[in-house]
Amino acid sequence: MQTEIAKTNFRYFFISEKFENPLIESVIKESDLVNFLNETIHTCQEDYILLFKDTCFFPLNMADMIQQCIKKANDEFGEGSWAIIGNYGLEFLSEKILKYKTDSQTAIIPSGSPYPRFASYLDGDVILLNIKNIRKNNIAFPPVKIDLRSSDIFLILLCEAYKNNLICAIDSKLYAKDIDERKKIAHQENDYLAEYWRNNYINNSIKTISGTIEIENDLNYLKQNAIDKRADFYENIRSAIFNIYREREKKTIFILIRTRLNRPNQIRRLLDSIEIANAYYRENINIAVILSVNNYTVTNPEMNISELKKTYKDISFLSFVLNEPFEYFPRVSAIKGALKLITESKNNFIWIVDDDDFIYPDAFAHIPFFLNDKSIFLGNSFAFKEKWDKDSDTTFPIESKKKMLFDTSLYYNFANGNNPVPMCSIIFPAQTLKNIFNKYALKGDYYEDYALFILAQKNINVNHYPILIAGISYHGLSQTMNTNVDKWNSSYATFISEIVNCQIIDEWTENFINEQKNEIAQKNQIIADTKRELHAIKISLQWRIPNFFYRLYVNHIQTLFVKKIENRK
Amino acid sequence: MLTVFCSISEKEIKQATAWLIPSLEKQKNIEKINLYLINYSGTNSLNVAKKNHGIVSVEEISNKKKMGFGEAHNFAFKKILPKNHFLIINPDVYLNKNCISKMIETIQSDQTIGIVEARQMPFEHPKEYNKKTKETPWASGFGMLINSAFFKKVNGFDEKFWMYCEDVDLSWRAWINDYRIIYNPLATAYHFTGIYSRYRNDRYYLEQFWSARNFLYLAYKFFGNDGADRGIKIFESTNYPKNFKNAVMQSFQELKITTTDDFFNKNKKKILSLNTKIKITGFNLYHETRN
Repeated sequence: MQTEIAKTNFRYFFISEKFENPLIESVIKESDLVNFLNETIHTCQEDYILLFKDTCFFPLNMADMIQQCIKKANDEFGEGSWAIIGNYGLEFLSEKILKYKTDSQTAIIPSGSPYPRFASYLDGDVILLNIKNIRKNNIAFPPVKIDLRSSDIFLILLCEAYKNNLICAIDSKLYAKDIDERKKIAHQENDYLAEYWRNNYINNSIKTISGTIEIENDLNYLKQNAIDKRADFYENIRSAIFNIYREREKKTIFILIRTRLNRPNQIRRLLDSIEIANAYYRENINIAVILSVNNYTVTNPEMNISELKKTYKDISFLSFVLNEPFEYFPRVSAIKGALKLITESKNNFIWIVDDDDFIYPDAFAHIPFFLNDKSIFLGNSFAFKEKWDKDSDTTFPIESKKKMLFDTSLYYNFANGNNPVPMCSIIFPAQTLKNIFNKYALKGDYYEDYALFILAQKNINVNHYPILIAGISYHGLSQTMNTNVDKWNSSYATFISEIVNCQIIDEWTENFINEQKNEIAQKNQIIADTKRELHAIKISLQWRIPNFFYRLYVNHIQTLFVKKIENRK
Repeated sequence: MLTVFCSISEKEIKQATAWLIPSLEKQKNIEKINLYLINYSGTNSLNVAKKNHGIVSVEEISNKKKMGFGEAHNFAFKKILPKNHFLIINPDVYLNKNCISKMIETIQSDQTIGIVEARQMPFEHPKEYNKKTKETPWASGFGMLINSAFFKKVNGFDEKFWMYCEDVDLSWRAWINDYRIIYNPLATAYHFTGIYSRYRNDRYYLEQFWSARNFLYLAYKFFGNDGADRGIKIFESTNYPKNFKNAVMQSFQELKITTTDDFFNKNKKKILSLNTKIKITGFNLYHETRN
């Protein structure tokens, strides 16, 4: 049901293609927004409209920022391919809230977006509408009799845009300061939105910035011989994204396999998985393999490269063999040498895997659309405890047990000295790795994965997507987490020294982290105290304390708890 | 010569072309494979020309109507009448090169084997199997080699399932008819099932609905009215929302009206004696789980 909420007023700019004198035209009420939009889409002569809450403050160079925002979107998606850019919303697939504004609830200054990110939800604080694309595709707001909230209006507009293969995105160029002191109200289901949703989509929930809206949708699409023309909302978004990239130049992903050519069955499993991916997804992306042989001292390798090339004839192969018999740091040199084989950097990406890893072919349903020269792609991986039969030529383990999921969403924990990210979960832009090898000596071994990933973050953002991209043969946890001093060596110290001296963690970040650590310690203390007290309650229940005394006791504990929290503020 | 059935619609033809057919082509120790793509959608043709891919000859067959999984395979079986044994396989499967020969080796080793199941990779199905005899309570329909004599004897799949769980039903009827179900862990195939990569929680998938409906049907068919009541209790205790539960229950009740519990009464003694094989261990669970 529609809840009683405080209404918002909007201001708007009309912006022409020439970006001359964008003027604030007027103020409109939230209740007039639908009519305004429908009328404007049909009648206005300009190309874009910027709509924003009247509590928003923009930078003085806002006109430039809008121009840059439009340019970024045009460069990324193509001029005719997008409909809406906002400053606050939910990113598609990662489901991450991207918030490019400062308001009464958020003081933290956000990190900017090097390119607009696909939105599955947009809040209505600052919205840039590409009117010419919206008009061209005959997008109109469905007729509405009731008073809708702006968040509902923009959600429906986003749905209509995606239906027409127009992209909606979030970008930091639309940053604003919002002085609205009202608390954000959770997005709630209302009758109109629910009806719109039920008529158009089969999904039973919508993810928004303030939680999930559950919609009791009909389930006819699941029944025998059902004919249901409704779409899957998120599949609709994926298809719109797919559509824009189909027309563009294909990206190339180089799967760089570090191998000593001494695990033939495992490497064949990996190549099988690449071949399977290539067979299905070659229309979306070019997949090439670089075999980087990192141990010249293996004089009698158990397999040869030409044999592999012959077996996997549909895979495009490059290979690099260390040619210095006493080359130091073969793991690092193998990557460095392989990089030289990639001459062009634009639109090229590198996925470093070990020869006993394998990739998930279905990951390529998403990877091509989310790879970007300006960011590192981070996925999840799954480790298996495996037993292989060395005497047979089988390309699968005779035993394989699920060990653990490497959820790499907390990748930034590297700052605490941990290595939560296996190398095969990362896909680097080729230029990023080339820059690292040009700039840093990287003398050392066995911690190069950790060092490369951290050094890459000096100049480029990491985008994590919760999709499974690789499988790992589990050999134990990363050694950076190992507390056994005997297992440490100078490689770790060497790489960390590089990382320290390139100031990957600058001083203010370090201060910020330390401050957070204190807060976490305090919270942990409160949790520990509460657990103790709850334990006491449990015991009291076992003693069957009469109800009255029990309530008295609980009240007492609650009072103590509240006081403790207040004292610590 | 081996007969292979794969039920497929237009949407899945790319999977079959990219994965299944090339992996069939690479099978070792197999002279010839006849792959029949069963068009279960009943509408447009799959536009698969009758063609040879190495050892594999591909042909589309259709009954010109929409068919469930069991109905599609029953139709194919009656039309082709495969001798000895035949393979049922999903289109999103890539078989390792020795997969089929290992399955054939097993089924030929003993006439009492009704079905041989392959091992799914990379996520192996965690269901129990006897390490020595390789017997398992049921075989997954993603990839099963079926003894033709057994399939004919039991009249194939129960078409009332429409989709999902008909493989459990077929396996249980194998045990009842003194055939065995064997798991061969050396016959491996990659299966890119949606559970690990594609399923989201903002909608329901056919697998969720039909597995739940057929969980109730299996409980009723093999354990009678008491079984159905127990199944309903287990289903009611799941976290599915009310409208999902109502839709499943409605579908089950509609099916139940058209079904008598004769099967249970006729086979009661045998079913009870096979309690290590024919069992429900939880919602949608028909086995003990391996660690």
